[in-house]
Amino acid sequence: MTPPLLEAAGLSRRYPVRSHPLGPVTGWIDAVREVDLALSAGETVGLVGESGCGKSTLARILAGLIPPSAGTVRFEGTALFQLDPAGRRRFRRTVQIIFQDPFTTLDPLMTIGQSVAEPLAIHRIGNRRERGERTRQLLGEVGLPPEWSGRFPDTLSGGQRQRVGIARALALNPRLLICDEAVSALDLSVQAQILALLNDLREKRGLALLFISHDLGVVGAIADRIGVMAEGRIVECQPNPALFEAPRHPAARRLVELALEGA
Amino acid sequence: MLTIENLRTVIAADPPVRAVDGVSLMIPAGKTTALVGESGCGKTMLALSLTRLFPKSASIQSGRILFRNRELTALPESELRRIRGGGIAYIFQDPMSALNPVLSIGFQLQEAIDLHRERAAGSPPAPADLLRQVRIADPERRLLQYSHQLSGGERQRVMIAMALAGRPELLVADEPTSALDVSTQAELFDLLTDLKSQRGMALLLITHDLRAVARRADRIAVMYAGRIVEWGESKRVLAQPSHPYTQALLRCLPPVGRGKQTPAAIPGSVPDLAQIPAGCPFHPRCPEAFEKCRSAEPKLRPLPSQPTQQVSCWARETTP
Repeated sequence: MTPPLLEAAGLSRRYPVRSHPLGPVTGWIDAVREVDLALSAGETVGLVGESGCGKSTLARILAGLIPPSAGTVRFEGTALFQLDPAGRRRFRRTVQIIFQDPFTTLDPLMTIGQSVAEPLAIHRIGNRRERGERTRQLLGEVGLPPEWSGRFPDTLSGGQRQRVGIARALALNPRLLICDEAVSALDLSVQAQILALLNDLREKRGLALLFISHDLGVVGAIADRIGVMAEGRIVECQPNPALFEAPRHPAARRLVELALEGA
Repeated sequence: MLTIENLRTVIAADPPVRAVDGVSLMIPAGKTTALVGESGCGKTMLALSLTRLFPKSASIQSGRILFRNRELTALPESELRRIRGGGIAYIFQDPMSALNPVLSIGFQLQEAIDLHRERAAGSPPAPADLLRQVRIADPERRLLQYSHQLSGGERQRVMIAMALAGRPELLVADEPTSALDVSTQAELFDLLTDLKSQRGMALLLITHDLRAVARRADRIAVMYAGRIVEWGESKRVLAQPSHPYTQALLRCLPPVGRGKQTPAAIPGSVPDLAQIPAGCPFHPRCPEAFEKCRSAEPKLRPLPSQPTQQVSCWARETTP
């Protein structure tokens, strides 16, 4: 059996609590507690939970943006937080993350073409002409007209900006794309378009997706397997749609109930 | 209770933005009316037009708004100010930006109460009572707190309490829960529904999310390109949507619990309100469009088979 693309074991992350910013530490908050999670290539894992359950902290650890307080993350068998700087750079190319708010994630002073090409420039891939060519190709791949490369973000709608964010995340040919509430700020009609786009990209590129949201209804539309988070832990993980039929943990039952009610 | 007749609101620009383009709508007392449509369809401008709370660049071109036997479009600013909050109150999507971060919750609530003191009959409500009505626990302690000490759901409850201070007859809630968790959304919608029943208020719930209002709305009005394209009893509209746009909106909902299956997206995008297509504004995205749809605009008419459900669609007029 091939090892999973990403494997996290015993991940925890705690933050100090202080009575005021410069004061002594009066306690600790455990944002993520002993999380185990594995993802294979081409698989979509959904992660659902309410605000403050630790899902965004977990996403940032898995993306290599913040270190865990304890536990390990292995990417294709290599321990992520023990890598040397060169290894770290290689890792950054293979895991990318997109966020909720497409209005604050794009630099308003850069054209969307510049935003999409920036990761290529940072990793010194191709010359200027090749990067421009690749950018137009990426915009086409996410369903935007390639000739929009010279436009600024303020001329784009929320859904179009999220497409730019996805194009930028794909620029380095990642193996895993982490979507942290990537469709939550969008209209339902635009959500449907972005979900379809993400699923297409997963199929065509063999991407693994970690899809994080507070909305179980949306997660159920795209995930193969769904983990429910509460108070920093993954309290339940079941294939989709089995979770909807027999949720066991109270937090999972509540989310299923709400999702079915709304439908 | 509130009747809108052929309302047109235009934002001055080149070309002008026709944000509300001939809307007629009746909002009954004691009921919840949901106004549903995609971003940029004119929902918020319609709500703001009721009391002319819109930006200075906007103006009402024609139409009438009847509220408490008065015609609001003809009222001078000074009289309209008494309607705002006292007759028609609003809550918006982002309560963080609506609350003042350096004033206590109690101070801001008292401000809202004082504003309406002279107009409203009877003794004014106490701030703590208002917080209790919106189900905030330990209200006396909360009055002394500031907005950053509250959760997103609590902030929105405070906004509802402030809106209640004026004892409005119509509460307009514009995407009140879009920034919140699903469970907080459900609690807030239940709260709004209960307050509406207790007070006999009318509730106008504006949202892009049909799921949220499905069980709670009495009536649904679907808006597209500044117009109402379908209107009727909520159960009926959801079970048997007639307009191709309403049908497409319902197909956008993720199918819950039926396994991995991405919902069907509506092809194309919402039209720019400065360049609304001729004929039926939905025709470029409509799977049923035919020649007439490109040239003539359909009117909102009762369905022959179901007179309480109104639809503006040529395809529904020729095949009853």
